Formats: sequence, C-alpha cells, structure tokens
Amino acid sequence: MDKSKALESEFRTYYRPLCLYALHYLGDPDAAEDIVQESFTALWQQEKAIQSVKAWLYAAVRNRCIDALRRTGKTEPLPMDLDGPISDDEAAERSTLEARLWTAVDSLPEMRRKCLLLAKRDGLSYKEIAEELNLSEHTVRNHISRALETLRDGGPEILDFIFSFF
Amino acid sequence: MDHFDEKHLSFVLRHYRQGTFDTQAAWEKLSGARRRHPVWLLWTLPVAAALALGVFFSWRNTWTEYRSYDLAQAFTLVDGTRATLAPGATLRYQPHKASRQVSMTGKVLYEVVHDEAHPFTVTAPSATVTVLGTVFQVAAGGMDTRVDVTEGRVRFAGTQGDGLILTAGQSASLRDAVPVLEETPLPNPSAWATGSFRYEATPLETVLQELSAFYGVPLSTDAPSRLLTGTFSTADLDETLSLIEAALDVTIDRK
Repeated sequence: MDKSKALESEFRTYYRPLCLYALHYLGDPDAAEDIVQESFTALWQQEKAIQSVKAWLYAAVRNRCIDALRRTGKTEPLPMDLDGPISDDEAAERSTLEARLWTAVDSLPEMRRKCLLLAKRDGLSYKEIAEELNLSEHTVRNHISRALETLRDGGPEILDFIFSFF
Repeated sequence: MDHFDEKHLSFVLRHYRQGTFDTQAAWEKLSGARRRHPVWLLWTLPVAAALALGVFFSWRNTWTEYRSYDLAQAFTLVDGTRATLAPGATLRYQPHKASRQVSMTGKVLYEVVHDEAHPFTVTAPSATVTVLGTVFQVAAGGMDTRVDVTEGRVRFAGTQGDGLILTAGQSASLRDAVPVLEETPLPNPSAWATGSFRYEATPLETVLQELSAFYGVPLSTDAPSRLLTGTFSTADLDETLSLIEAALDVTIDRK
C-alpha cells in the first residue's frame, strides 16, 4: 500500500470514532469535527515516525479538546456522558462502538430514524410523534421498536461491511 | 465490542444529527480531492440553485443545543427568551423557525418574552408546558417533571389529560403522568438561578425548610411560626442564619 492509500485508510478507520471521542469532551458535533480534522492535518504534517497512529491521534484530539475547554474557563476538563463525567479511557473505549451506532442510525430507513429520534432525542411522546408525522400511534410504536431491533441485532455486522467499503 | 447498552445508544441519539461526522465529505474536504474541469460550468448552475434551496431548508431546520456543565449558565434564545440551565441540563431548539418550541432535560428557569401569536412550548421527556410570556422553571427527570411558576400563567400537561393551568407562586409535579398541584410550595424554587431568597411575611418554619433543602443541612428553631420578610443571598448560609437570628431574635440550630 503506498503512502497516500495508507493515509486514506487511517482516515476512514479513525475519523468517526475520533469524532465521537471528541464529542464526549465538547458536547458539540461541529466543534468535535473541527478538532478531529485539525488533528488529521497535524498528523499529515508530522515529520517524525509515529509508532501507533491510533494512539497519536487519540492523544492529539484529547489535547486539543482539553485546550478548547480550558479556553472556555473549565479548570478540570473531563469527558462527559449524559449524566456526568466519565474517564478518558472510557470515552476512548466507547468511541468505536458509538461510531458504529452513529452509522447504524444513519442507515436506518427514514421514517424509523425520524420516530426514534423524536422519541429518544427530543423526548416526544408516541402521541405527539403521531401528530407531528401524521401517523397512527401504533405505527410510531412499530417504527421505534423496529429501529431498535435493527440497531441491536443487525447493526454492528452490517456496519463492518459499510465501514470496509466506505 | 459488539454489544452496546442503553448509555451508548442514549449518548449517540442525544447528539445525532443527520449528515454530521460524514467520513466521505470530510475526506474530500481535507484531501482536496476535487476534480476541476470546464464541463463543470454546464451543470454547476442548476446544481448550485438546488443546493442553495436545500441549504435554506436545512438551515431552517437546524437545531441548536445548549448544555450546562458544572455551573448554572444563562442563554438568550433568538426571540429574546432567557433560559438559565442548572448544571447538567440541556436545551435544544430550532432558532430559525417561527414556532417557539424547545425540548429539554434537567432543570431550566425560563423568562419568556411575551408573544400572543407564538406560544412558547417546552417539551420534557414526560411532560409539555405551554406559555405566552412569563417566568417559570421546569425540572425534568425521566418520568418525573416539576414546574414552578414565578410570574404569569402556564399550562402544564403530562402524557395524559389536558393538564393544569398554573399561576404565579404555584408549583406542580407529575403523579402517574398527570400534574398535581403542590399544597405548600417553597417560596424560592429558582434560588439556584437568581442567587437570592426573598421572603414576605413567610413563616420561619417554611424558610428553614427551604434553606435545609437548598444547602442539604438540617435546620430547626424554637420559634417556627415567626414571620420573616427580607432578601438574602444564596452565597453564605452562615451569614443568612445570623441575619435571621438577629432580625427576629430567635435561635436556629443546625440539627
């Protein structure tokens, strides 16, 4: 594999997991994406040999996130889950799986994804979703349980496939 | 690796936005792998027009999310409404839409700008609150939601029934998906955001109940029915207690 092919393959392997990792620190997808892109640019400008590209990238993203949080006045920047801080190791570990879930949500049929997000992200009741999307409550419930099923059962395997051909 | 649980899914869904973290788009942007060719001009214009329309509609549907970490934080929404988020609270809304709808988790104090034509609606995981213009606070857990109204009127609905109209000074919590009015609400439910406790002929017993709950310290007195009027900062419990003791000539015990 020549050098540019190697760069591309590293990028495709780590881009989304690193975004999820940065998201745990920053809570803002746009800021997370900016930092991950900066880190890749820095990687490509790096002259010295790097032993583990993965470890280098995670460290680069972590340092940039911590700097960004310090600039906003946070004295002890820690990665966050929805209900509080988690360790850096946990955030790094979770990022691969969560990146796959993100892709799995991307590839859900549109209605299922809409219903799932309105329920789980926006906290709407089945009745409110039914009204908003002009569906019956029964259909909404069905879409959501199918979506969860897809994510639980088929999700990760299909994703391996998507990942490798991306 | 292949098994995820609720925390992974909740985290992903909470932040999920379609088209974000797009590996292909990011790769093209960073690697500069864009082909340039004169033929471009032929199809660039119609495509650009279609894109501009698409961008406009997706811009209108853009969600903005605010989140408060270890300190309470105040945000001003595009309609001028002020939202103060307690630590850990989140608020999402679509700033470019005419309808005023926000969804939230955690505890948030709202100071809503009056606009009859566009009611302000707060959606929490298990309840909906609708207002015209007023000051009120929503504390939303998964199944549990509490609303405290400081000024004006709001409609508070759970997942069942038409809900309840609350007016200034009233508080209600959900019980079995239906809001129930609290008989003796505490006078300063939003002290965490305003930084002060205000009392007007409030029985000392109620004052101590509120201070105990706020600071997590048990407090008792020999004169529970004495009435207190005054404003105290939330910054220093000891100072507040000695001011009350001096003003009413009573003793307050920390037990």
